[in-house]
Amino acid sequence: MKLPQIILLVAIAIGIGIIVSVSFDVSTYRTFKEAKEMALNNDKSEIHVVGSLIKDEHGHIQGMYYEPRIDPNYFSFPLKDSLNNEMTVVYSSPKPADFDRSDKVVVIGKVKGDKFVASKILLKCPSKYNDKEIEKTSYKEDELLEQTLALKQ
Amino acid sequence: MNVGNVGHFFVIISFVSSILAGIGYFFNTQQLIGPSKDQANWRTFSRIAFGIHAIAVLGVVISLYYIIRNHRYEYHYAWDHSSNILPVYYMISCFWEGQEGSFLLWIFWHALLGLFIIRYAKNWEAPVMSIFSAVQAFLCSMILGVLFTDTFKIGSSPFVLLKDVLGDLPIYKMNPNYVPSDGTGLNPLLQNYWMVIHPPTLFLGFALTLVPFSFCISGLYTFKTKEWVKPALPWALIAALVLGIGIMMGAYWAYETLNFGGYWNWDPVENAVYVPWIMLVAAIHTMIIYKSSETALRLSSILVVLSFILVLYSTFLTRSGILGEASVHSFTDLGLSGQLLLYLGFFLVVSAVIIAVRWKSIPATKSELEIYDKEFWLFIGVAVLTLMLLQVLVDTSRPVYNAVAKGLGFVGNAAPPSDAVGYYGLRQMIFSILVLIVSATAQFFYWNKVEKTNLMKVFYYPLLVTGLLIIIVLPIISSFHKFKPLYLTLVLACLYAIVSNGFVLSRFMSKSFKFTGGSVSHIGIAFMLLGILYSAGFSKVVSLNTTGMLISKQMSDQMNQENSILYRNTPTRMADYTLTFRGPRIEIKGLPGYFSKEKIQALKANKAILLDDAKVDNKVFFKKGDTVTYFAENTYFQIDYSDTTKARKYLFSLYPRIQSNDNMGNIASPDIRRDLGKDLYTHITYADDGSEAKKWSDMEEQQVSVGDTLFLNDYVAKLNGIQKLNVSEIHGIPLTANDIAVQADLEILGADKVYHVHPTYIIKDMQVGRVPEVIVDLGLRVVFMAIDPASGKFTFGIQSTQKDFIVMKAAEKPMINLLWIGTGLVCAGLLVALIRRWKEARIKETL
Repeated sequence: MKLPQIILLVAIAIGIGIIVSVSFDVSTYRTFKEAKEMALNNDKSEIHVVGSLIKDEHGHIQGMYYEPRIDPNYFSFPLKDSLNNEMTVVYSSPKPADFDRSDKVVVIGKVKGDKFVASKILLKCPSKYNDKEIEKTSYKEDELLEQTLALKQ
Repeated sequence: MNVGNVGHFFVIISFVSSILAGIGYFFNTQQLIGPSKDQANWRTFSRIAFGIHAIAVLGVVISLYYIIRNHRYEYHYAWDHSSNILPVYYMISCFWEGQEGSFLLWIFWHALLGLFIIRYAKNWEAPVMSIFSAVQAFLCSMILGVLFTDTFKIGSSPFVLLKDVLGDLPIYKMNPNYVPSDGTGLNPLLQNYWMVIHPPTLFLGFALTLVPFSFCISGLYTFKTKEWVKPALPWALIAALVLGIGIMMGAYWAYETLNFGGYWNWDPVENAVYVPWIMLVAAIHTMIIYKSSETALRLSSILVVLSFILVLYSTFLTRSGILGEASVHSFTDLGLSGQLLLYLGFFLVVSAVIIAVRWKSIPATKSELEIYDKEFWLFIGVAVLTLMLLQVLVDTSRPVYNAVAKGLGFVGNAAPPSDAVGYYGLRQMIFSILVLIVSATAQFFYWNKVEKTNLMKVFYYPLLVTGLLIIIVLPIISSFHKFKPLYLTLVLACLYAIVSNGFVLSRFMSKSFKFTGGSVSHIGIAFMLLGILYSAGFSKVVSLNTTGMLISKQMSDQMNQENSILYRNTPTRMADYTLTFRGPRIEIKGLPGYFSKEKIQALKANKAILLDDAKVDNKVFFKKGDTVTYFAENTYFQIDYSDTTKARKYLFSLYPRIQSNDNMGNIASPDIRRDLGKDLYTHITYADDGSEAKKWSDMEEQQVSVGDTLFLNDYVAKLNGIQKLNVSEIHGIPLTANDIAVQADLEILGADKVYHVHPTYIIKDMQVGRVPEVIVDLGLRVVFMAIDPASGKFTFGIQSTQKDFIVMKAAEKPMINLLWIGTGLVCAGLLVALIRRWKEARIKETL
């Protein structure tokens, strides 16, 4: 083998090395229970938790805290994961617009003390993109119902 | 026959005719490679079939546009994607907002390109068009909308009736012919001029990747294993140019419209276009090596094929719904995953088989490469590019691994990188440095016959200039910013790339301009990377919150404090500016600039009555009481920027926006102040949406005489006088001769200016009425409570509320213009190369 081929191979090997090292750095979907265990084991990696917001019968989210006058960069809310474990999520940014309209959220972060500190929140709004249809339907349904009533009279 | 049926009929015709054209052209191809016979019959047949196909596609496009343009809300597509108030240019965007429409756009471009190839491609027509027709058949099937059973369907038609989609609604039992009066509208994020031109450009780019692919497969199939490169190269260049422009338009749209604070977020949807583009660029490079030294033909075939296959894979990723939680903006899942997978699988298998079968007959690369060979350096470059895209591809595909694992009975829980920007940014930066160094070095080997003996001679001046430049520039730039070692490496690599490509450029600039394409593009890439490094790496948050971080401090020491609160009319110092939030504004049709949202009475359907004259520079555009049209969804928040001196010299105002839409919710968009050296990016991260009624404090009463001073919450006020009003009407209340209206004139000293307040006290029909006045700026309400004629004293009630506020984030993005300049250079370079290769390809027989 000649020098250039060796260089080429080395270059490719380095590149593959970068990519492979990458795949060990995979963030995963977990539960709060696992997140707590990770914190106990001093595992600092960030994980994704999919959870649902806790709402009352009127659809209002319970236990949410955001007081921008006191601290615009502090927002917290309780979240229930897929195993129904509840945990307080803390997010050091303003409350996302449309948070009130969400049902499910994905929080990305790690457990610290008794709270889950999120670096990112992804909203799953029934209104947006993928699930757009559902929201629109129910919205239109109301309107159509109104019109139906109007026709009856 | 109604327009929907016409449209659907055209869809079926286009589908059937593309299959016929495909079969016809395939037989035509067989005639070509078999013992030569008269080919006219099959060719004429196929041409007619494809002609019908093109006409039918046009018919589908016109039908769908007709439905949207004429507000035919009995059709689901029009109802779902448009509304009455949309201007015509956004109706064009409605067309491709949905999956079906965007497929249609793609089909349309293919049909147009197909016609072009029939006209000019001569001997290549038959095989190339067989592939085109096959692709068209697959794409048309996506919008076919034929239901076999409740669960099995082929395609999703854009011409379905609303009734058929939402047939369960009670209204249809009452009135089967019900047609909604308005649609649900276009996603407000897409109501932007970039969104009118970005999707067609991107889809044209996608469509163009089919051309080099088709030439390649045709060449292999018809034993023209070498000849295909010449006609394919200009097409690959134009595809890279158009796709690149499309991608950057999307990036610019994101920068202007989305609120994540940048132009690129490494979202799967973005990655899905990035990957094929890089592959295409790699393919162009191997094709150029082949053109200049007849090597790398096998590699070229593979890369050209892969660039098209990756377009299909991207389509599968973004449209099948597989990304799910991984992306914030994928298309609505129409249940076409199976069809998309079939489409991808078909072309993957067909191309793999053809390449494998012809492998032996493709001339191989000469076995011994020397380090002084240009081919060697180009191979290194292609290897780096391939690895670069592989990293993005491997990581973006994580949801696919989960799906595959699930299919095999395992549990896949791989999530996308938690900090996508940092994650991809770091890795792509490392590859970018390699790309820059290799591209700069390869240029010398490409244009010079480099040997061991003249190695020094070739590299002497470029390295000397780079070295000098580094010595001069480095101290200057590092006095402004602190460089991490990796950032510094990137800057050095950029300088080296600019200098060495600059040498090549200066050599060709005067005599043979047509050879400058490569060096101009490479310089452009270096500029883009500098712009990206500076604007992202040295972005400076202006709105760092220095107060009120009590809770966050307890939580953690490294919490983000990038958002600050701005109270209305309260100047707040932030970094090098003093910011003052002035209040919500709206845009009125026909009025330049913005108008106070509090000085209108909103009516329905984007109409409002003005409560004050609308004037700009003393020119009155609308009078008080006029009814105007405005954009009710959009609220702009005026933020004045002034300097930090005591006088607070006014600099400029920014108007970040929040769009409130019933269907889409609240969406914030930034406003950007553009300077040559930096952009100042400002957006609202939280605003009270007014859904909660204002809470007023308990009323505090004060009794004063004329000339006395009052204390209103934090402010001092003076009662200037009391005036009896001789009017027949006040605040819409008619007054007779027996009624009395008295108005107080109060002067309140605000932080910035003096406010004159006129609460009114009315006695009408022996009843007391009080019209309070609210000073929004100060969060005060003043009520004229009572008059005591005996003492000549007047009682005022004062209530206070908390002031309006916004939470915002502002950041400076230095040198971002380098990114846009670099983009322009890359495009210019590609264009020069395109013209050169186009002319070359046309010299002999084919195009």
